[in-house]
Amino acid sequence: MSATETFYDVIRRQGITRRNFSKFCSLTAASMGLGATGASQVAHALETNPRVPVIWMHGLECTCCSESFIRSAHPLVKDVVLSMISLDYDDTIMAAAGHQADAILQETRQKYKGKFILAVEGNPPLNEDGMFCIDGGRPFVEKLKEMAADAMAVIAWGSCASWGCVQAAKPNPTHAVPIDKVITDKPIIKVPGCPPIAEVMTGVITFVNTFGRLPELDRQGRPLMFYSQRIHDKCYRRPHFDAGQFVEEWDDENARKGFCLYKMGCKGPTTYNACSTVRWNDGVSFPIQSGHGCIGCSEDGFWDKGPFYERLSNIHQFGIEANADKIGIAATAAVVGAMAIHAGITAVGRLRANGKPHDTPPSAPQK
Amino acid sequence: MRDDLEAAELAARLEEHFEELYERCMKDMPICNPHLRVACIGFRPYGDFNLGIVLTPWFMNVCASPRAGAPKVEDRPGATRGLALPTGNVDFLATDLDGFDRLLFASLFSPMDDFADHAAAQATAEAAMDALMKPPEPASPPSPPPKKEPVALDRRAFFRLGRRA
Repeated sequence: MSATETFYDVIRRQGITRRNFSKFCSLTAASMGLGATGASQVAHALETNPRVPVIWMHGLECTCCSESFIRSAHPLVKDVVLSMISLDYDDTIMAAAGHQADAILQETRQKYKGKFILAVEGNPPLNEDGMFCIDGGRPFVEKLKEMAADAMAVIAWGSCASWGCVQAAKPNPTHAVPIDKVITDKPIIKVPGCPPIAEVMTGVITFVNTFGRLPELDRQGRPLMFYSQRIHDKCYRRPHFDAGQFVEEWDDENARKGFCLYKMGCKGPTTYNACSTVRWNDGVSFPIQSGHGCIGCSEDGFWDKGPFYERLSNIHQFGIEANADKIGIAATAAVVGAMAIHAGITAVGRLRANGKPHDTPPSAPQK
Repeated sequence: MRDDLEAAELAARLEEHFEELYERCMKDMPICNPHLRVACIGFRPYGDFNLGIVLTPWFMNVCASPRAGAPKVEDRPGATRGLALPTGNVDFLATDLDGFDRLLFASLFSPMDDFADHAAAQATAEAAMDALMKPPEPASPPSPPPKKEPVALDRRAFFRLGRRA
């Protein structure tokens, strides 16, 4: 394996056809919102750029991120992206084990110093010098810091690596922390969700491979292309919310009519994720479509935010980049008036960014 | 002029509808911002639709309702429908409201907690309406094309006998 091998070389060697490769490119370009020229852009980059190796490490976690990832909608997506990953290191899905696996880790680290992506699923516990998560005979936190030191960038898979999730929920006996508490000198892309959507995960990896840089992130480090809108903004039950039509009790008449689940504890109004647009399992459904409210699994500290079935009453979030907590005119008219204008323009920009041309679906490049 | 009247009439009917809805079933809900009132902002004809912004204590949406004589919205409620507006393509959701033909809503804000007062929400809606009706400004000037890697003697130069163009 030479260092200048491209991603395309790898998948061709694995017997994936040119046609399937093109399909993958257009699918991924569409999910990233790259528009009509995106597919050829992705294809060109994957054919010519040197492959970016991915090291996938596991801390305290449940493997739901991996489970989601290997079930990407298009059967090819997993083949394609797994080619990128399994060649290097993922202790759950790689064939190697024990010392052999550890050797691969060290080898990749040395060979691709400063050039590989470190993807982290789960998080490190800090109590008792990290003894609550031992990986290959050493505390996970040590290995994580060591690998991060030589990585180009770090991806935090899921809510565990991004925010802490259930193992960091109160009282957090192992003192589990999100990875940005121990990796402070590298850019970190947070891809929260429990688990994150498969298409979002492949989208993030492919973006870095295609453009050789990180996608645009919000202030919390999440890629804007997938986390700029709330579940509520694009929910197919949203018209019922607007019209004041709510499910009042499980399995009542309104539930059968598919009314809004806000009163049953749905956290859609405060949760940033792509579930209501990308959906799950090849776009088949998402929690609200199956009749259950959103539990807000991609939000910081969701385990400690109260019961899943309790109505949202305390909403301290805002989808726009305002500089203060409140947008008000009464206080200081000039400054805050400008803020209102900024808020309005930003909201429209968000609508536009997510609006897709409907008559021109992206098509695979013809070769 | 008649077109403007139609848009104004729609705005008035929507205001009345949501005011009644607020009093009847939304008023005590924590998702509402009690400092806000129902208002319809900037309603005007645009193509086959009357377009404007509906502001209530629980949402602020862009509303597109088919004009008289224009084709009705056939999408089922909750389905996504894209419209090309001056600002770009915007995804709307087909919505049924009691007493109205099926119309299209696109969410700008909801919940509305972060608006301190009605004037702020109204100003935001007006700014949003202006932004909808004009093409977006380019975010940044296009980056210059990447420079070619310098080579001692490329093929082209070789055939020119070393003279650089």
